[in-house]
Amino acid sequence: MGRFILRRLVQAIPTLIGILVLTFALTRLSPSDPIQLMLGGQYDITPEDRIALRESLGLNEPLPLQFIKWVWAILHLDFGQSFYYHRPVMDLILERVPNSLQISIAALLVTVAIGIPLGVIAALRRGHIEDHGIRIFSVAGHAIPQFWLGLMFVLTLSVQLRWFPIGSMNAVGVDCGLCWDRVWHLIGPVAVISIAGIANLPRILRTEVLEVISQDYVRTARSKGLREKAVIAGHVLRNALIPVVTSFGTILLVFFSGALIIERVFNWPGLGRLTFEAAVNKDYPLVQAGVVISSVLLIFSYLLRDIAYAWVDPRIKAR
Amino acid sequence: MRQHRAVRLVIAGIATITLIATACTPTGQPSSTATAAASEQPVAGGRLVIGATGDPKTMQPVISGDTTSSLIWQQVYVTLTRPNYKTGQTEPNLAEKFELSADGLTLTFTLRDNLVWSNGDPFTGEDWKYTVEAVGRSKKTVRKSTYQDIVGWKDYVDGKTDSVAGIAVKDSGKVIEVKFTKIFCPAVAALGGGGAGGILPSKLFKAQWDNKTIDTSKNIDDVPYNMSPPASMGPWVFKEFKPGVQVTFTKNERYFRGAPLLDEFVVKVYADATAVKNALMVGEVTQANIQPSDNEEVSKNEALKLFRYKQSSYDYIGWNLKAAKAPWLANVQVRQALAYGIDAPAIVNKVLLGFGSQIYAHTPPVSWAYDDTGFTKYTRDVNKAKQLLEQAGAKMGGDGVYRWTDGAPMKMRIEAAQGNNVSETVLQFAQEQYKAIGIQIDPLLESFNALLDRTQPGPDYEGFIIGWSLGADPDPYSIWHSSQSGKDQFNDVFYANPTVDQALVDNRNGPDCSQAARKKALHAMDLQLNQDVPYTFLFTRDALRYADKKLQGFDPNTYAYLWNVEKWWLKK
Repeated sequence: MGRFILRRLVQAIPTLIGILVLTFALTRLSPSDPIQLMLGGQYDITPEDRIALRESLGLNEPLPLQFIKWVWAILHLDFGQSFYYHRPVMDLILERVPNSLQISIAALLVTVAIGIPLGVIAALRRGHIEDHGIRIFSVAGHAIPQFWLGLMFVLTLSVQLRWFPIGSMNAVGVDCGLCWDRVWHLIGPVAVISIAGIANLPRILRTEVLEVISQDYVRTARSKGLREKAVIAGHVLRNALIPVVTSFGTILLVFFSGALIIERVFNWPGLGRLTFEAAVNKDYPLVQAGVVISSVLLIFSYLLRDIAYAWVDPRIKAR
Repeated sequence: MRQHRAVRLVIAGIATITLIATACTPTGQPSSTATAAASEQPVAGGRLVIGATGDPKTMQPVISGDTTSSLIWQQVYVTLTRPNYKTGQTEPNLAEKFELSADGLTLTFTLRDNLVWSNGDPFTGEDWKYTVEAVGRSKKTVRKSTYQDIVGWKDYVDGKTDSVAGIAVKDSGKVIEVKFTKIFCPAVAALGGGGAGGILPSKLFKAQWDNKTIDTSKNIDDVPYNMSPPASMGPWVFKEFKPGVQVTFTKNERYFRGAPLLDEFVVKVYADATAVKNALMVGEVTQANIQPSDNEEVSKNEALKLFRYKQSSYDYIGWNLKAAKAPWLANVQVRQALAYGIDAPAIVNKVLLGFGSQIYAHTPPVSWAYDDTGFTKYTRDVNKAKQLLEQAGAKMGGDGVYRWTDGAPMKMRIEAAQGNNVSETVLQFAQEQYKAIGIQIDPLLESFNALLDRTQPGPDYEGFIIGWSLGADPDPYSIWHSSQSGKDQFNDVFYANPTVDQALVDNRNGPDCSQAARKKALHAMDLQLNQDVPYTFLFTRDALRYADKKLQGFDPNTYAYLWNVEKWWLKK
């Protein structure tokens, strides 16, 4: 097992290098100049003032040198100073991480709480109206873009009907972490992000349940006289859920890419909105750090998935 | 070097925010147009919420360059003078008097009596000097040019001295005397109000960066107070910043115009202008600027009241007089034909829904320097345009497109910022209407930043649609002077005219810095621009600002909307 983990870790290194190069190249190769953006075309800035600003940000150095300096700093866990906020990038990111986690964790819980029963129902009621209904929901949940869903939520339920807040984490003047006001503000973004996750789960689970349900040990359990509920929960679900657990990697990816847009739509001060705004502002150090950190998290979650899988199914290690 | 920073119109929403963000504090006279509630008794208490797009990047003026940042620091760091909210003329603020000597080389500010910071420290001329010197040593500031004509400025910047020789603080801090190496008329407004902008509490900041040093490696750029203002001279005291959420202020009981009636001031951060509008609609923000296209929806909201006023900005099509692919743009008759060829009022009706008006030269109608005597008022006239093209030497081709004197068809590109509803509409009009006068347009939409990059002075662009948002004190030198067509400079149409050059220098360097003399010089410039039309001047937009009907004492205008915030109150 130790050798397997080590091998996987080593395999992650080229991926990581690729991410570093791509992130750096993509931010630098896209047209337009961060200095231009920072100054927004103010007409009374002298060329000398511009040059001084460019130098202070280290943008006058050759690109390869900038890249090496950047990677070297990252190895020391230093992501540099944000061009825009004049503060260490790490501070900016760390203060946003808890906010993003609230959405992700809530969305994960909702996804599991709704997605798993739906998958089981779809399998047990195969061919019935429930099964069709759930399948239509799955396809629709996949096909509808999250940002559109988010915008529709805000426009109809928040602006027109005023049932929900239009965004943010708390109402103005309310300052609390875990309270009704926060839950109230979480409903919109969590609902929208969960829909994609919920759409994902029943598809996988339905197939698995159908496969497991025809196994001998299930028949044995039934013939022992176990109640149907106990058979499903204790025998079917336990085995059917193994591949589902490993699919959480994909679900995490959905959450992550979704949060980038959804946090913006719902004005949620998380990592996704921070990265999005940094990209718009061409705040190189911040975009690069945001992308690198989220990529590393993703690689790490895939690694955990592989390890979990190997642990569950020893044949994987041999491959 | 201007009282307010002037900015290219980005997206309409951002532009209006830019302009209105030059918030100020009041003179003390009651306003004649103040809202109906004069007879009612003001009630203290309540909260004012203002929407901003994006977090503040800093909370101090030296390194500030964005609108949210200035909205924040303007609540705590106040200026010596300020532009009048309606006329834009420089008026007293922390300084009760400001005087330029007869030779134009010495500027004296005299402060009000008994000024104190929110923490009880006295406010003195040393605070102003400290702020200026902070700019001198900052590596992230873009404000250095504001002070470049002060005696001893460069020596301080280079670390040859530990103090700017030309700034003397006298009379135990009550008088500030500034000596210049040359006459610079806009200096009065720029040094009093613009430049670094607000004035820092030097006693507190000195603990984090001491200005009395020749060590140029140290500066104010990254000190902790930049993100947590420790004391206030403005109406509000900084309380808390929650990144991505809001900045909260409480009232300053020691504010020199009197403590605000409202208890709390909140700047709430939204993703974009649409989100701010939504917040206005549901009553989350107390007041906000909106786009003309949203007016119909917002005007139906019974809880809101509209305030409409002129803006100090304009939109135009710039013509590159040195365009390699359109040599005809160098010809004045061709440019006049282009001015006659487009229907600006129709664009105003279509895209601004009438909330704007046509303009004919650079100085915006709302400015104290505006004078339209002698202007040619261009209106769409296809025959006249064609006649001018033919006088210039163009000949109609068989395909309905004119041929220039070298035989080439008169075909050129006009570029505009994508996603900007106004620019895109102007481009559509230009394409259709210029076709009618025999000029073929090749439209190009690109990002705003790509547009700025592409119009770096050079021969590779022809026409472009953009705008200027202008400060209260007029100094269009960097836009129109013939010397300003180098890299990163703003005369990107390569306009050069000796009359205009002279007028710009007169407006800047006097020697007569009186308002009448400057107005005369600027009118000479405007007359010439009106004839030469290096831009097709299009229109100026009206601001549409909505506020909660409960908000009383609110009286926004062109140059400021927060100027009397301490008198605002919320009707129960």
